[in-house]
Amino acid sequence: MSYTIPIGPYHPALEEPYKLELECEGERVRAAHLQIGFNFRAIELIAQQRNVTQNIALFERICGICSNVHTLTYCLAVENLLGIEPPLRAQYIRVIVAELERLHSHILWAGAAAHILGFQTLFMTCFRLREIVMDLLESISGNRVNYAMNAIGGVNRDLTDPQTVREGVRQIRQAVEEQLLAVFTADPTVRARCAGVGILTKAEAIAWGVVGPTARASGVAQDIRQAHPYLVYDRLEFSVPVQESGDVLARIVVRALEMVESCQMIEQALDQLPPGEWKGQLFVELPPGEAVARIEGPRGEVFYYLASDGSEKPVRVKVRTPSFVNMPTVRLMLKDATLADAPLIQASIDPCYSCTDR
Amino acid sequence: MNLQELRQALRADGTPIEKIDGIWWHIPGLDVRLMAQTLLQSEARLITITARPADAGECRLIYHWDCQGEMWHLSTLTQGGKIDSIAAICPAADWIECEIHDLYAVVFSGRETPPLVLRADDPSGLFLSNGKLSQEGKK
Repeated sequence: MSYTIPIGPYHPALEEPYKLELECEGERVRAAHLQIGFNFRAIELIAQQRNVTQNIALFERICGICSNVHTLTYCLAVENLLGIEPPLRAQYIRVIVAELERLHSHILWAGAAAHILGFQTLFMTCFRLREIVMDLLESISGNRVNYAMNAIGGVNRDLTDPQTVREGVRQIRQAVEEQLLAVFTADPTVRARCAGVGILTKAEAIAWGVVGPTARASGVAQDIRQAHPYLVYDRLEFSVPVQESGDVLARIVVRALEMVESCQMIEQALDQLPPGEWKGQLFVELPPGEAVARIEGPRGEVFYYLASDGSEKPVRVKVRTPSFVNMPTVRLMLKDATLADAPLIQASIDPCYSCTDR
Repeated sequence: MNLQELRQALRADGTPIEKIDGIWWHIPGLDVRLMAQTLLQSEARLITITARPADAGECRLIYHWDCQGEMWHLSTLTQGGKIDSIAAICPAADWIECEIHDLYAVVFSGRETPPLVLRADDPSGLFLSNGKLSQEGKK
């Protein structure tokens, strides 16, 4: 018997608007249709009505989870257009905050995944770890969500207490290695729910331009920090975790391993953190021209295009978020999956609807 | 693939400009389907397409590609507000083209572009009208 289940615009697993129609035969999903745009705010258009500095605060509000990656990528695009480079200390601080944000995002996602799996103790573990990351970000920036760290040509705050960051990261790394990795790689319940579920093949990932952990879980070994290094990532030693199976389990394992890599990167950046200038500058106008920047956010490549006619307001800013390219592939992952796995499969790409809708 | 090979494959005019953020190349009359086929064969990845209003009601479309870690930004103009769709060749372009139709009313020949970020009854070209919706409002 065939039937269609409309779900949304509230997500069955996450608290963001999104509509899904599942065409089912019995317990099997035969096709899925997605609708987005429920949170569309025309932020790119609003950016054309604000000056180059005001836009930093605007882009910080695209997303609550990865707010820093938006201001970082925007500032890098502006700096490319201006032809300037932030001081070395500022670049290290940007890396430390970016990796803390990645830890926060991945831990939050791991908690949500544990919740969907019915693994409530792991959910609690993840949210306890999340508090440590948020405390660290608050100690650096003064804020727990929108950190307001990036400025054009530098950062807004110095990192004055590296020892606190080092100790917090040590705790997170230990918990990730001993608890999260152990559960996500060896627990029979997790394996039973996630192995072989929601597969995205390597060929599909390439064809659809999938990015970030979702791509790397399908065997696409691409990470902008390594392939096209920015800031001081070329001074850090790290590996890029890649899995070949393309299923939900692979996406879980890639993110868990990336948390360990992020901890190691923060530790290295703290070791290498040079003294010196870190402040940004106030630019009122941009030179005429166009520029782009891209970085590796928690969900994958974030891309900004910026065009200026020489006035104080940009004539065009284009924001391409990782979820925008990853989300269409949920349709492929859901095909022939069981209905009960649908919430987990959708959540496995760590979708961000605020980013997607902008 | 290098730029010379791409120039020969596309029989393209214009001068590529190398900058810190990649290679920028405006190609009048660019055959975007041939571009997509050629670049995908060399394992390039479509990052996104940026639309910008241009003179005489046309739009400049910039196709941003990742070619083995290097960014290539190939641009061209719509003709009569239209350009060929590359979505059938490059699935990554599917949602991107729909959004450009929503915001700039560009018609992508060879496909339908159902509303993506707008609702079904909203007119396309939201950014051309400076964000003003029709009198019926957003449904």
